[in-house]
Amino acid sequence: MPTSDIILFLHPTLGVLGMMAAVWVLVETANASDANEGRIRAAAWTVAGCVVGSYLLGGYWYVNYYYAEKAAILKGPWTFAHTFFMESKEHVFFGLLVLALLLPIVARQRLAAVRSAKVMTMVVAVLVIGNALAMEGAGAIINHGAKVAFQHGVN
Amino acid sequence: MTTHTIDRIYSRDSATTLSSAAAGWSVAAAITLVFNAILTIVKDASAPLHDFMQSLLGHHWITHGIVILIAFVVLGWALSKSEGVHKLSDATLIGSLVAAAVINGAAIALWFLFV
Repeated sequence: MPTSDIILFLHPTLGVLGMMAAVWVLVETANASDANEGRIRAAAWTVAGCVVGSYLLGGYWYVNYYYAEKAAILKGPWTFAHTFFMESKEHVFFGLLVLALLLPIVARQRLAAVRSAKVMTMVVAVLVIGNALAMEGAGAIINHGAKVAFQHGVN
Repeated sequence: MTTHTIDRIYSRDSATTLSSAAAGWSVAAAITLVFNAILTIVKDASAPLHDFMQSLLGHHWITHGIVILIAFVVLGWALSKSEGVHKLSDATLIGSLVAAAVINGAAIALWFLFV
């Protein structure tokens, strides 16, 4: 398998793992106690690590390999896969990156004792989940945009 | 109404109970999210800015990402030490972050939908 394909598959894989870790943060925080503070912080750092990894791998692929796929998409019937979904995804992603980096910071508080800290951590986790779902969906549409272009004989 | 009562109300409704780091970095995140939406739209609308960012690090998207990360870190570092942030209420801090996340997603999506 070419390195570019491995990078391409690792990008959404890390995104999904980060999203699952954000769900983990959400559930643990909803039941925050002195006993699970360590797990919440570990899960929050997992979110940040996965999203940063997804950013670096996805960014490397985007900068070095996407131009060929972009050219095919723009010659095919699903041009919006690039003009709307990729253009939006590549820029909204920075918001997800910031939120993922914020999560370990807000999760460092005494979540069992301070209600606002608990609410803030849950809100950031929900925002990460929502943004990550949007990224995954947009990625699937971009991929399909290239697929239908190739099905229509675009080289 | 006694001074004690006023202090209790002010404390409950205005001053955040979040930690310095959480309050400062959440405001930094909110500002950075809105800044990201503005930079995205201005960069897409302005060829000179797009080309300038392209020339800095070889690709406009790389430069954009570095600018966003620097903005977040600098603002977070500064605001977590700011006393002004601690005067904001919990609702303001949480609400502004949610609003900024919605603005980031909606503004960028609407821009590329209609341009």
